[in-house]
Amino acid sequence: MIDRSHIEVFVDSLTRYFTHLNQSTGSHSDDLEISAPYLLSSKELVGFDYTGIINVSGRHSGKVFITARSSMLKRILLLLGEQELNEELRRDLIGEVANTLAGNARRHLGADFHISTPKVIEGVIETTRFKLSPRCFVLPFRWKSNVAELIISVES
Amino acid sequence: MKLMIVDDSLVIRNKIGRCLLNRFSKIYRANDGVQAIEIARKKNPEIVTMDLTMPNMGGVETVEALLEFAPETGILVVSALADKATAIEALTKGANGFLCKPFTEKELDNAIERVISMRVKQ
Repeated sequence: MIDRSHIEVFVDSLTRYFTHLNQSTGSHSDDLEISAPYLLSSKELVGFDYTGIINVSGRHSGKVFITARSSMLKRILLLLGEQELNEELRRDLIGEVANTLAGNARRHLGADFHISTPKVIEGVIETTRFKLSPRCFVLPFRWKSNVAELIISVES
Repeated sequence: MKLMIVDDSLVIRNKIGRCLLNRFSKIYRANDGVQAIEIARKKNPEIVTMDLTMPNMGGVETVEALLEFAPETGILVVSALADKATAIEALTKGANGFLCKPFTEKELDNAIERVISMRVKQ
């Protein structure tokens, strides 16, 4: 079962991602606001426009989701220097963000935290489609006024 | 000097390509290890940036396969896998550097500079 230290690992990954993004673009690092995590009910619908999903295996098992609105992904793409901002790039970006956040968690969780290549889903997700862990945490955050959520469904 | 960018993410291939545009005369892009080996055999890039988590053929396997027929290739692993064991494994398999995602343009430029310098000394 995951505990507070696991949540902090993902808070660290999230902070690191947006700090680097801000450093790359000369933006302010305090644009990221992470809210208190909460437990996901098994019947809830989750997800914004795009969701990136990483399967976790090894010493831990489960899934890590990141879900964001199209507006946030377009903003990040612009900062990365993209001009098209099309659907292919938005899907690719959400998958890459999921991969980066889960991969960076290995800094604390070690090489036994195996991650898959990302899968991307558009639109709202019915959580019953996935076998989520009994204690599935949602970490809401806001970056430059855009809301998004990191969902951690991992057991050890 | 020719560069090949190997990454399953289009956004990352574009970002690396834009950052390193002025350093290389030609930039090739591959979205997995299989495509990377094909391109490397035909185009002989001197420097390669290599993701690790990719479909079809992962980065460590690709590094080994590539160095079998092009042992002088300078390889910078660019991966989100941030643990020390992964970095050590990549370096022992023959990569010349390891850069953790996310990265800034300056961090990428410095890492590529080190890989190019190491290759020249060899």
